[in-house]
Amino acid sequence: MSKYLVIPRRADSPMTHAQGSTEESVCEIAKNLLHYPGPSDYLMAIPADTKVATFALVKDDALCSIEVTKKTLDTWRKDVTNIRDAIDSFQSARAHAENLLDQALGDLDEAYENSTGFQGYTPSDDISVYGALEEMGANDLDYTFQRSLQEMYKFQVLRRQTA
Amino acid sequence: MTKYLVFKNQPDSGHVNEPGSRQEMASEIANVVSQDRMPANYYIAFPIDHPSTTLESLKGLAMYAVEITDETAEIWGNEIQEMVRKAHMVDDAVSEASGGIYQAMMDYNNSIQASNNFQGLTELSIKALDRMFEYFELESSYEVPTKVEEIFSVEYFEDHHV
Repeated sequence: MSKYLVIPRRADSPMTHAQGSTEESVCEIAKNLLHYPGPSDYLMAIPADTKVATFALVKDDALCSIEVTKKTLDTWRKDVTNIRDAIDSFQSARAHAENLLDQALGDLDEAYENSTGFQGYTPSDDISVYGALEEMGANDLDYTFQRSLQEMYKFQVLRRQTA
Repeated sequence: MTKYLVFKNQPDSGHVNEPGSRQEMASEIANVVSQDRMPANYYIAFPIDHPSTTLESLKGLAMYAVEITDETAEIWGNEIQEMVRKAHMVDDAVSEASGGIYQAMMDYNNSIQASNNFQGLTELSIKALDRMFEYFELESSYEVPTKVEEIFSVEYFEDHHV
């Protein structure tokens, strides 16, 4: 198990992590769990048991700490991207579905409202994907997945990012 | 008021409903209440006292009887046709929406199953999704046919030949 602190990389710092290194992966994990707005290149991972790490803590530079093993790094590289992509695809399919139904139902509602023989019924009252998908747990996908990642990497926020 | 009997049109019958006629209207009404969205001229209608009605009745029993008055014909043209079209658009939207979400759910569930450490995450229920969209389809397709049935005093003949 290796523990790392993640700090913002200074804009003028020439140091970057080697491609495929543990540090590079730690920065990607941190970016994801912190919802860091910039690319992961803007972050640096420092082993927690080094003087530089202690210095970063004293200076209040460290954004978070993350613990990794070979197995959890493999998980990050192999599984997380797939699941994250699947969640993103699901959310976009859902948005598309809601959009399609909203539009079609809006037209139908309007036709009912303007009719003389069909008033008193609003189709969209009975047909909505919002509530139904929520009941199926679709709203919690992101949160649940994020929580399991936080536990897996023993993620701890050390300093809140400034907006 | 004129009563029409509506039959399933045989492919080789040579009959078509005259466009814009009350017979065509009666056939479309049958199509709406059947909820099957069949193509034009799938049904053929004749006024009840028309000689063809007797002839068609000999070949196959009528499927529906439909009553049309000038007033209900006007409602059909002014309101119902548009409403049917919009209800069909909702059906189509439900089909498209369900297809997209179904695929995305399967991909999500597969990605969890294929993972080493995330199999504990809850899979999304495909059955619940099916139930949800079935319910939507029922809801979107129920109201208009029910009202049409009422307005045009549609009768079903249960022992018709299909």
